[in-house]
Amino acid sequence: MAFRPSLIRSALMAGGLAAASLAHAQGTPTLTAQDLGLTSAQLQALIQGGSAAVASPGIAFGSAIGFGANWGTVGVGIGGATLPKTASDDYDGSMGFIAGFGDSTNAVGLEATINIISLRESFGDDGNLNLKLHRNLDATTAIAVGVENVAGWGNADDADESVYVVGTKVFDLGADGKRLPLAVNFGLGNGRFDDPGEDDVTPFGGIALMPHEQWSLIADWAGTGLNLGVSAVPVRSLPLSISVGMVNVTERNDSDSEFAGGLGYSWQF
Amino acid sequence: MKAPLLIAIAAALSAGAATAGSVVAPGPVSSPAGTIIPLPGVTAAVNSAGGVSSGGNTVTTIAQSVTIQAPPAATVAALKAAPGAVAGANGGFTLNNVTINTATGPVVVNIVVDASGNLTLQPVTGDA
Repeated sequence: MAFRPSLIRSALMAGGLAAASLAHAQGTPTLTAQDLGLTSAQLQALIQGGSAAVASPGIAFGSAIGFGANWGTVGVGIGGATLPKTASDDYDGSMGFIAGFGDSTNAVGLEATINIISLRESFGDDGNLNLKLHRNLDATTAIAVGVENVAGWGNADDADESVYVVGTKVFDLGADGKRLPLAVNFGLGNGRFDDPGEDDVTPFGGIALMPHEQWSLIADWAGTGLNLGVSAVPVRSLPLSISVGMVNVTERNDSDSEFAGGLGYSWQF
Repeated sequence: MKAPLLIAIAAALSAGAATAGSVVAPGPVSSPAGTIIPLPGVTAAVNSAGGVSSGGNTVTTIAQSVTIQAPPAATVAALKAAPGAVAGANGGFTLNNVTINTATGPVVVNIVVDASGNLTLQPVTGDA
Protein backbone atom coordinates (compact mmCIF):
# COMPACT_ATOMS: atom_id res chain seq x y z
CA MET A 1 0.00 0.00 0.00
CA ALA A 2 1.31 3.45 -0.92
CA PHE A 3 0.12 6.87 0.05
CA ARG A 4 1.08 10.33 -1.15
CA PRO A 5 0.56 12.89 1.58
CA SER A 6 1.88 15.68 -0.58
CA LEU A 7 -1.53 15.85 -2.23
CA ILE A 8 -3.17 16.96 0.96
CA ARG A 9 -0.65 18.35 3.39
CA SER A 10 -0.15 22.03 3.70
CA ALA A 11 3.00 23.81 2.73
CA LEU A 12 3.39 24.92 6.34
CA MET A 13 3.57 21.36 7.60
CA ALA A 14 5.95 20.32 4.85
CA GLY A 15 8.11 23.34 5.49
CA GLY A 16 9.24 22.43 8.96
CA LEU A 17 6.45 22.34 11.50
CA ALA A 18 6.59 18.56 11.29
CA ALA A 19 10.15 18.46 12.54
CA ALA A 20 9.31 20.76 15.40
CA SER A 21 6.67 18.37 16.69
CA LEU A 22 8.78 15.25 16.37
CA ALA A 23 9.50 14.17 19.91
CA HIS A 24 12.01 11.73 21.31
CA ALA A 25 11.24 9.23 24.05
CA GLN A 26 13.97 7.04 25.47
CA GLY A 27 16.19 7.79 22.50
CA THR A 28 13.74 6.71 19.80
CA PRO A 29 11.51 9.19 18.00
CA THR A 30 7.81 9.49 18.61
CA LEU A 31 5.87 10.57 15.56
CA THR A 32 2.48 12.13 15.06
CA ALA A 33 0.30 12.14 11.97
CA GLN A 34 1.54 15.63 11.19
CA ASP A 35 5.13 14.45 11.20
CA LEU A 36 4.20 12.09 8.38
CA GLY A 37 2.30 14.75 6.49
CA LEU A 38 -1.04 13.15 7.21
CA THR A 39 -4.18 14.05 9.05
CA SER A 40 -5.16 11.92 12.03
CA ALA A 41 -7.96 10.33 10.02
CA GLN A 42 -5.62 9.51 7.13
CA LEU A 43 -3.08 7.93 9.47
CA GLN A 44 -5.80 5.92 11.16
CA ALA A 45 -7.11 4.73 7.80
CA LEU A 46 -3.63 3.70 6.71
CA ILE A 47 -2.84 1.81 9.88
CA GLN A 48 -6.20 0.08 9.97
CA GLY A 49 -6.28 -0.45 6.23
CA GLY A 50 -4.68 -3.09 4.14
CA SER A 51 -5.63 -6.43 5.53
CA ALA A 52 -8.17 -5.10 8.00
CA ALA A 53 -11.79 -4.11 7.42
CA VAL A 54 -12.51 -0.45 8.09
CA ALA A 55 -14.93 -1.37 10.87
CA SER A 56 -15.41 -4.21 13.26
CA PRO A 57 -18.73 -5.93 13.92
CA GLY A 58 -20.76 -5.25 17.02
CA ILE A 59 -19.55 -6.45 20.41
CA ALA A 60 -22.74 -6.00 22.42
CA PHE A 61 -26.44 -6.62 21.90
CA GLY A 62 -28.24 -4.47 24.39
CA SER A 63 -25.58 -3.57 26.93
CA ALA A 64 -23.55 -0.39 27.07
CA ILE A 65 -19.86 -0.73 26.27
CA GLY A 66 -16.68 0.93 27.53
CA PHE A 67 -15.61 2.30 24.16
CA GLY A 68 -17.20 5.41 22.76
CA ALA A 69 -17.01 7.99 20.03
CA ASN A 70 -14.33 10.68 20.13
CA TRP A 71 -14.10 14.01 18.35
CA GLY A 72 -14.11 13.32 14.65
CA THR A 73 -16.68 10.55 14.73
CA VAL A 74 -20.38 10.83 14.02
CA GLY A 75 -22.80 8.05 13.26
CA VAL A 76 -26.36 7.02 12.72
CA GLY A 77 -28.12 3.82 13.68
CA ILE A 78 -31.57 2.39 13.29
CA GLY A 79 -33.13 -0.56 15.00
CA GLY A 80 -36.32 -2.50 15.30
CA ALA A 81 -37.75 -5.25 17.46
CA THR A 82 -40.86 -7.32 17.63
CA LEU A 83 -43.04 -6.61 20.64
CA PRO A 84 -44.67 -8.93 23.19
CA LYS A 85 -48.13 -10.24 22.42
CA THR A 86 -49.48 -8.00 25.15
CA ALA A 87 -48.41 -4.89 23.20
CA SER A 88 -50.83 -3.15 20.89
CA ASP A 89 -48.44 -3.35 17.95
CA ASP A 90 -46.35 -6.08 16.42
CA TYR A 91 -43.03 -4.27 16.31
CA ASP A 92 -41.31 -1.00 17.10
CA GLY A 93 -38.33 0.95 15.87
CA SER A 94 -36.03 3.79 16.79
CA MET A 95 -33.17 5.76 15.35
CA GLY A 96 -30.05 7.16 16.98
CA PHE A 97 -27.44 9.74 16.13
CA ILE A 98 -24.09 9.86 17.90
CA ALA A 99 -21.38 12.48 18.01
CA GLY A 100 -18.05 12.20 19.74
CA PHE A 101 -16.18 14.89 21.59
CA GLY A 102 -12.81 14.90 23.32
CA ASP A 103 -10.12 12.27 23.14
CA SER A 104 -10.43 9.07 25.16
CA THR A 105 -6.83 8.07 24.50
CA ASN A 106 -5.08 11.16 25.80
CA ALA A 107 -7.82 12.52 28.06
CA VAL A 108 -11.54 11.72 28.18
CA GLY A 109 -14.04 11.27 25.40
CA LEU A 110 -17.68 12.24 25.51
CA GLU A 111 -20.24 10.44 23.40
CA ALA A 112 -23.61 12.10 22.95
CA THR A 113 -26.48 10.11 21.54
CA ILE A 114 -29.85 11.42 20.46
CA ASN A 115 -32.47 8.72 20.07
CA ILE A 116 -35.59 9.30 18.04
CA ILE A 117 -38.28 6.85 19.10
CA SER A 118 -41.09 8.16 16.92
CA LEU A 119 -40.26 7.21 13.35
CA ARG A 120 -43.47 6.53 11.50
CA GLU A 121 -45.89 9.15 12.72
CA SER A 122 -44.80 12.59 13.86
CA PHE A 123 -41.16 11.81 13.18
CA GLY A 124 -38.93 13.16 15.90
CA ASP A 125 -41.69 14.13 18.30
CA ASP A 126 -40.35 11.73 20.92
CA GLY A 127 -36.75 11.19 21.82
CA ASN A 128 -34.05 11.34 24.42
CA LEU A 129 -30.41 12.21 25.04
CA ASN A 130 -27.75 9.84 26.33
CA LEU A 131 -24.28 10.90 27.48
CA LYS A 132 -21.23 8.76 28.10
CA LEU A 133 -17.76 9.69 29.35
CA HIS A 134 -15.19 7.14 28.26
CA ARG A 135 -11.49 6.57 28.63
CA ASN A 136 -9.13 4.13 26.92
CA LEU A 137 -6.89 2.47 29.50
CA ASP A 138 -4.75 0.92 26.79
CA ALA A 139 -5.13 -0.07 23.16
CA THR A 140 -7.62 -2.84 23.95
CA THR A 141 -9.35 -1.68 27.13
CA ALA A 142 -11.83 1.10 27.81
CA ILE A 143 -14.07 2.17 30.66
CA ALA A 144 -17.07 4.44 30.66
CA VAL A 145 -19.68 6.01 32.87
CA GLY A 146 -22.93 7.10 31.30
CA VAL A 147 -26.42 8.33 31.79
CA GLU A 148 -29.19 7.31 29.42
CA ASN A 149 -32.29 9.42 29.06
CA VAL A 150 -30.54 12.33 30.76
CA ALA A 151 -33.06 14.49 28.94
CA GLY A 152 -36.08 13.63 26.86
CA TRP A 153 -38.98 15.07 24.99
CA GLY A 154 -42.39 13.80 24.02
CA ASN A 155 -43.28 10.44 25.45
CA ALA A 156 -39.61 9.73 26.20
CA ASP A 157 -39.68 12.49 28.80
CA ASP A 158 -41.53 10.16 31.16
CA ALA A 159 -38.83 7.50 31.24
CA ASP A 160 -36.37 7.32 34.12
CA GLU A 161 -32.65 7.81 33.79
CA SER A 162 -30.33 4.83 33.60
CA VAL A 163 -26.90 5.34 35.12
CA TYR A 164 -24.12 2.85 34.49
CA VAL A 165 -20.42 2.16 34.67
CA VAL A 166 -18.88 -0.33 32.28
CA GLY A 167 -15.55 -1.70 31.17
CA THR A 168 -14.69 -3.51 27.95
CA LYS A 169 -11.55 -5.40 26.96
CA VAL A 170 -10.66 -7.17 23.74
CA PHE A 171 -8.50 -10.28 24.02
CA ASP A 172 -6.94 -12.39 21.30
CA LEU A 173 -7.60 -16.10 21.68
CA GLY A 174 -5.87 -16.90 18.43
CA ALA A 175 -2.90 -19.17 17.92
CA ASP A 176 -0.44 -20.05 15.17
CA GLY A 177 -0.64 -16.61 13.68
CA LYS A 178 -4.42 -16.60 13.41
CA ARG A 179 -6.33 -14.00 15.37
CA LEU A 180 -9.51 -14.73 17.28
CA PRO A 181 -10.61 -11.56 19.06
CA LEU A 182 -12.90 -11.90 22.05
CA ALA A 183 -14.51 -8.82 23.55
CA VAL A 184 -15.54 -9.04 27.20
CA ASN A 185 -17.89 -6.45 28.60
CA PHE A 186 -19.01 -5.93 32.20
CA GLY A 187 -20.90 -3.16 33.93
CA LEU A 188 -23.28 -2.10 36.64
CA GLY A 189 -26.37 -0.03 36.05
CA ASN A 190 -29.86 0.85 37.14
CA GLY A 191 -32.92 1.92 35.20
CA ARG A 192 -33.24 -0.13 32.03
CA PHE A 193 -30.57 -2.51 33.28
CA ASP A 194 -32.72 -3.44 36.27
CA ASP A 195 -35.80 -5.63 36.31
CA PRO A 196 -39.10 -3.77 35.85
CA GLY A 197 -40.50 -2.45 39.10
CA GLU A 198 -37.23 -2.67 40.99
CA ASP A 199 -34.73 0.02 41.83
CA ASP A 200 -31.44 -1.79 42.22
CA VAL A 201 -27.99 -1.61 40.74
CA THR A 202 -27.74 -4.62 38.46
CA PRO A 203 -24.78 -6.25 36.71
CA PHE A 204 -24.79 -6.53 32.96
CA GLY A 205 -22.27 -7.71 30.43
CA GLY A 206 -21.43 -10.12 27.73
CA ILE A 207 -18.93 -11.59 25.34
CA ALA A 208 -18.46 -11.29 21.60
CA LEU A 209 -16.34 -13.70 19.62
CA MET A 210 -15.08 -12.71 16.19
CA PRO A 211 -14.25 -15.86 14.20
CA HIS A 212 -13.91 -13.55 11.19
CA GLU A 213 -12.98 -9.89 11.14
CA GLN A 214 -16.32 -9.08 9.51
CA TRP A 215 -18.71 -10.88 11.82
CA SER A 216 -19.20 -11.68 15.46
CA LEU A 217 -21.26 -13.88 17.73
CA ILE A 218 -22.65 -12.07 20.75
CA ALA A 219 -24.05 -13.29 24.06
CA ASP A 220 -25.19 -10.34 26.11
CA TRP A 221 -26.82 -10.21 29.53
CA ALA A 222 -28.34 -6.73 29.34
CA GLY A 223 -29.37 -6.74 32.98
CA THR A 224 -32.92 -7.90 32.48
CA GLY A 225 -32.46 -10.80 30.11
CA LEU A 226 -30.11 -12.77 27.91
CA ASN A 227 -29.73 -11.59 24.33
CA LEU A 228 -28.04 -13.58 21.57
CA GLY A 229 -27.03 -11.93 18.34
CA VAL A 230 -24.90 -11.93 15.24
CA SER A 231 -23.25 -8.81 13.91
CA ALA A 232 -21.60 -8.29 10.55
CA VAL A 233 -19.73 -5.71 8.53
CA PRO A 234 -20.90 -6.79 5.07
CA VAL A 235 -18.56 -4.57 3.06
CA ARG A 236 -14.91 -4.36 4.14
CA SER A 237 -14.50 -0.82 2.92
CA LEU A 238 -17.68 0.56 4.50
CA PRO A 239 -18.12 1.34 8.22
CA LEU A 240 -21.56 -0.22 8.14
CA SER A 241 -22.63 -2.90 10.59
CA ILE A 242 -25.75 -5.00 10.83
CA SER A 243 -26.79 -6.78 14.01
CA VAL A 244 -29.68 -9.22 14.38
CA GLY A 245 -30.68 -11.58 17.12
CA MET A 246 -33.09 -12.56 19.83
CA VAL A 247 -33.61 -10.67 23.05
CA ASN A 248 -34.69 -12.19 26.34
CA VAL A 249 -34.15 -15.70 25.06
CA THR A 250 -34.90 -17.19 28.48
CA GLU A 251 -38.23 -15.32 28.61
CA ARG A 252 -37.62 -13.69 31.99
CA ASN A 253 -40.11 -11.43 33.73
CA ASP A 254 -43.06 -13.22 32.10
CA SER A 255 -42.09 -11.72 28.78
CA ASP A 256 -41.61 -13.38 25.42
CA SER A 257 -38.41 -13.72 23.49
CA GLU A 258 -38.35 -11.17 20.69
CA PHE A 259 -36.48 -10.64 17.43
CA ALA A 260 -34.41 -7.48 17.16
CA GLY A 261 -32.10 -5.97 14.59
CA GLY A 262 -30.13 -2.83 13.96
CA LEU A 263 -28.10 -1.10 11.31
CA GLY A 264 -25.35 1.44 11.97
CA TYR A 265 -23.04 3.63 9.93
CA SER A 266 -20.30 5.98 11.05
CA TRP A 267 -18.26 8.76 9.52
CA GLN A 268 -14.87 10.13 10.47
CA PHE A 269 -13.71 13.64 9.72
CA MET B 1 -24.67 4.75 2.05
CA LYS B 2 -26.45 8.06 2.33
CA ALA B 3 -28.55 9.13 5.24
CA PRO B 4 -31.81 9.32 3.23
CA LEU B 5 -31.51 5.63 2.48
CA LEU B 6 -30.99 4.88 6.15
CA ILE B 7 -34.08 6.88 6.97
CA ALA B 8 -35.98 4.95 4.33
CA ILE B 9 -34.87 1.69 5.87
CA ALA B 10 -35.86 2.99 9.28
CA ALA B 11 -39.29 3.81 7.99
CA ALA B 12 -39.61 0.35 6.49
CA LEU B 13 -38.57 -1.28 9.72
CA SER B 14 -40.99 0.75 11.74
CA ALA B 15 -43.93 0.53 9.39
CA GLY B 16 -46.94 -0.30 11.45
CA ALA B 17 -45.15 0.55 14.65
CA ALA B 18 -46.64 2.49 17.45
CA THR B 19 -46.62 6.23 17.22
CA ALA B 20 -44.10 6.36 20.00
CA GLY B 21 -42.08 3.38 21.06
CA SER B 22 -40.96 2.57 24.53
CA VAL B 23 -37.58 3.90 25.56
CA VAL B 24 -37.09 0.87 27.73
CA ALA B 25 -37.99 -1.63 25.04
CA PRO B 26 -35.51 -4.50 24.92
CA GLY B 27 -32.67 -4.90 22.49
CA PRO B 28 -30.92 -2.50 20.16
CA VAL B 29 -33.97 -0.28 19.94
CA SER B 30 -33.25 1.17 23.32
CA SER B 31 -29.60 0.30 23.68
CA PRO B 32 -26.97 2.97 23.15
CA ALA B 33 -26.48 3.67 19.49
CA GLY B 34 -22.79 3.10 20.07
CA THR B 35 -23.43 -0.61 20.23
CA ILE B 36 -24.95 -0.53 16.74
CA ILE B 37 -22.81 2.13 15.11
CA PRO B 38 -19.24 1.08 14.26
CA LEU B 39 -16.79 2.97 16.43
CA PRO B 40 -13.14 3.51 15.48
CA GLY B 41 -12.15 2.78 19.07
CA VAL B 42 -13.66 -0.69 18.96
CA THR B 43 -12.11 -1.37 15.57
CA ALA B 44 -8.71 -0.28 16.82
CA ALA B 45 -9.05 -2.44 19.92
CA VAL B 46 -10.00 -5.48 17.87
CA ASN B 47 -7.11 -4.86 15.48
CA SER B 48 -4.74 -4.27 18.36
CA ALA B 49 -5.60 -7.40 20.31
CA GLY B 50 -2.68 -9.77 20.20
CA GLY B 51 0.07 -7.18 20.04
CA VAL B 52 3.66 -8.33 19.79
CA SER B 53 6.33 -8.24 22.47
CA SER B 54 9.01 -5.64 21.95
CA GLY B 55 11.64 -4.68 24.47
CA GLY B 56 9.86 -6.61 27.17
CA ASN B 57 6.60 -4.79 26.62
CA THR B 58 3.54 -5.81 24.66
CA VAL B 59 3.06 -3.21 21.97
CA THR B 60 0.60 -2.58 19.19
CA THR B 61 1.97 -2.71 15.69
CA ILE B 62 0.50 -2.61 12.20
CA ALA B 63 -0.85 -5.54 10.22
CA GLN B 64 1.22 -4.99 7.12
CA SER B 65 3.70 -2.58 5.61
CA VAL B 66 2.50 0.83 4.51
CA THR B 67 4.51 3.12 2.24
CA ILE B 68 4.20 6.88 2.39
CA GLN B 69 5.52 8.53 -0.73
CA ALA B 70 7.34 11.84 -0.39
CA PRO B 71 6.99 12.32 3.36
CA PRO B 72 7.98 15.67 4.85
CA ALA B 73 11.69 16.19 4.32
CA ALA B 74 12.15 17.61 7.80
CA THR B 75 10.76 14.45 9.35
CA VAL B 76 13.00 12.24 7.23
CA ALA B 77 16.01 14.29 8.24
CA ALA B 78 15.11 14.07 11.92
CA LEU B 79 14.61 10.32 11.72
CA LYS B 80 17.90 9.86 9.91
CA ALA B 81 19.70 11.74 12.67
CA ALA B 82 17.96 9.86 15.47
CA PRO B 83 19.91 7.43 17.67
CA GLY B 84 19.67 3.91 16.30
CA ALA B 85 19.25 4.88 12.66
CA VAL B 86 21.22 2.49 10.45
CA ALA B 87 22.42 3.84 7.12
CA GLY B 88 21.52 1.89 4.00
CA ALA B 89 22.41 2.17 0.35
CA ASN B 90 22.24 5.45 -1.55
CA GLY B 91 21.19 7.54 1.39
CA GLY B 92 18.45 5.26 2.67
CA PHE B 93 18.26 4.18 6.27
CA THR B 94 16.35 2.02 8.76
CA LEU B 95 15.13 2.94 12.21
CA ASN B 96 13.41 0.35 14.42
CA ASN B 97 10.85 0.64 17.20
CA VAL B 98 9.49 4.04 16.34
CA THR B 99 6.31 5.00 18.17
CA ILE B 100 3.51 6.73 16.28
CA ASN B 101 0.84 8.38 18.37
CA THR B 102 -2.54 7.78 16.75
CA ALA B 103 -6.05 8.75 17.70
CA THR B 104 -6.55 5.35 19.29
CA GLY B 105 -3.21 4.91 20.99
CA PRO B 106 0.48 4.39 20.28
CA VAL B 107 1.56 2.08 17.48
CA VAL B 108 5.13 0.82 17.23
CA VAL B 109 6.69 0.27 13.82
CA ASN B 110 10.00 -0.10 12.07
CA ILE B 111 10.75 2.59 9.51
CA VAL B 112 12.61 2.10 6.27
CA VAL B 113 13.43 5.07 4.04
CA ASP B 114 14.67 4.08 0.60
CA ALA B 115 16.96 5.94 -1.77
CA SER B 116 14.00 7.66 -3.37
CA GLY B 117 12.89 9.08 -0.05
CA ASN B 118 9.79 6.92 0.28
CA LEU B 119 9.06 6.01 3.88
CA THR B 120 7.75 2.55 4.71
CA LEU B 121 6.16 1.63 8.02
CA GLN B 122 6.78 -2.03 8.76
CA PRO B 123 5.29 -4.21 11.50
CA VAL B 124 7.43 -4.93 14.53
CA THR B 125 7.86 -8.64 14.17
CA GLY B 126 8.97 -9.86 17.54
CA ASP B 127 10.87 -9.22 20.71
CA ALA B 128 13.40 -6.59 19.77
